[in-house]
Amino acid sequence: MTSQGAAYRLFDRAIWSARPLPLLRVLPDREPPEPPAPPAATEFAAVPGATSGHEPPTAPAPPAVPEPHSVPEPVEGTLTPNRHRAPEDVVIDWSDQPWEPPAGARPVISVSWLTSLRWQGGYILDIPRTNLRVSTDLTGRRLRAHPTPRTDRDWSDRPPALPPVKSGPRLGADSLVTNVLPLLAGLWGVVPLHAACLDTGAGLILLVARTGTGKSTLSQHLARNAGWTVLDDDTTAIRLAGRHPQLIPMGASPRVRADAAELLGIRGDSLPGYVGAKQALPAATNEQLAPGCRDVLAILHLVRRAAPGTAIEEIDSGRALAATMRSTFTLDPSNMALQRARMAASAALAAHRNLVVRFNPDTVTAAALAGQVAARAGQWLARTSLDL
Amino acid sequence: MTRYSRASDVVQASVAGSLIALEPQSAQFFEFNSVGARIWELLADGPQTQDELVATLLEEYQVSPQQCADSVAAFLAKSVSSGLVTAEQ
Repeated sequence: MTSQGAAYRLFDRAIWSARPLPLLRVLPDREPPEPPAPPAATEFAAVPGATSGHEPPTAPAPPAVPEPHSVPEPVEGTLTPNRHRAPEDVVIDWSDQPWEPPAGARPVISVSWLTSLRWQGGYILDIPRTNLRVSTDLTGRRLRAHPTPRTDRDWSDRPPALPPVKSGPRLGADSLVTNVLPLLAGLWGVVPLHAACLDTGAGLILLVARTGTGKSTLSQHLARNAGWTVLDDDTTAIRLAGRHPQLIPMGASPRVRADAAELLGIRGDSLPGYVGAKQALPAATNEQLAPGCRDVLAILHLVRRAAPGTAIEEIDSGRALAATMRSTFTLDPSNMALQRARMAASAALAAHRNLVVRFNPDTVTAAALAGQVAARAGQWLARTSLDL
Repeated sequence: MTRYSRASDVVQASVAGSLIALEPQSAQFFEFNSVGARIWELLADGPQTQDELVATLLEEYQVSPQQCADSVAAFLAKSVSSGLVTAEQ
């Protein structure tokens, strides 16, 4: 089993791992709470008439240090301090031994970068590109990571947005953070959406797009030019409070292409396996990431197009629902409860302002696109101010 | 007599007064008009024949029996071919 290891933050969970998870923010290390001091001996006065009169009553034993899983449920928006595990924490066991799926496991997802199997005890996720196999229970909170035999898979068929790994495999931990953990959010009771989340100060804006469209780069330009805060540049969780959507950034460190970082004058940490392609930038603070009831200002669906220039178009709720639903994801499309949750969350977001932003990256720079998006948002922000 | 049911893997949601359903095999979305939404609602009560659906709608809408029957038949044919509804003899 995993040694205690360190605790990281992802979504509103503590993720325990004995191996470093480089894209996640480490939770602050805290000492366990001090047990109450036993009463001072002077409080135990001799009882008149007692036989001895010199033997103080036995002091009550101090409470034992809480066992794992005995910590009370944390208040929403807070995280369990390090050194104590709570039932909702995610614990990752690492194994150096390959592991074969049990008989009876059936595939539920089979795409080029992921195979997901369902079995009685939970799910198994294979990420062949990084030789990682992860099994999880049905709660998505007890994980075991295994290596898989290396394959000679030719990745040259991948679209340019997902270049083949040129400098060796990514670290398994990095793959686990970027590929596996977001998929488990559905088991944690929320719906993961492939979207960057930015705080304008007057509401949240989502940038919904496929991998490689430019969410991260555009987010950084919006942060620089419009003063918005990048809460997450890849995955945002949707939690419904009735029909009201709460947006909760998953909270991994933003990653941008090295050339984009250079243009922005930002220096990040080079990511293993992403050498020359991606750098990790500082993540939003825990305070910024704390789930709240900030209003959703707009959802922008980013689409690359062949025609030059940019076109920004507001779309009706039906198209918005379809576009949003397609950008949510699940590790088990045959799980009707997860499917209904995706649909409900998408409908909740579709009731807000939704726009499609079509742009040609060959003719529109990220900085110019950020200016156009910020100008459009400025209209809503001004309206919001007037409404107030 | 053919009986019609909702396909078990279809998910739906209401947004801005519209009912939208997703057929997961084709990943296609369908938006119902008000009558289509009513038929979809009736199918939630269990398998229905076309005649049963028509009879219910004739009580609720001012429409000729022929027009109602034609509309229901068209809706069911489209829904079955799209995978939203299953038909059993």
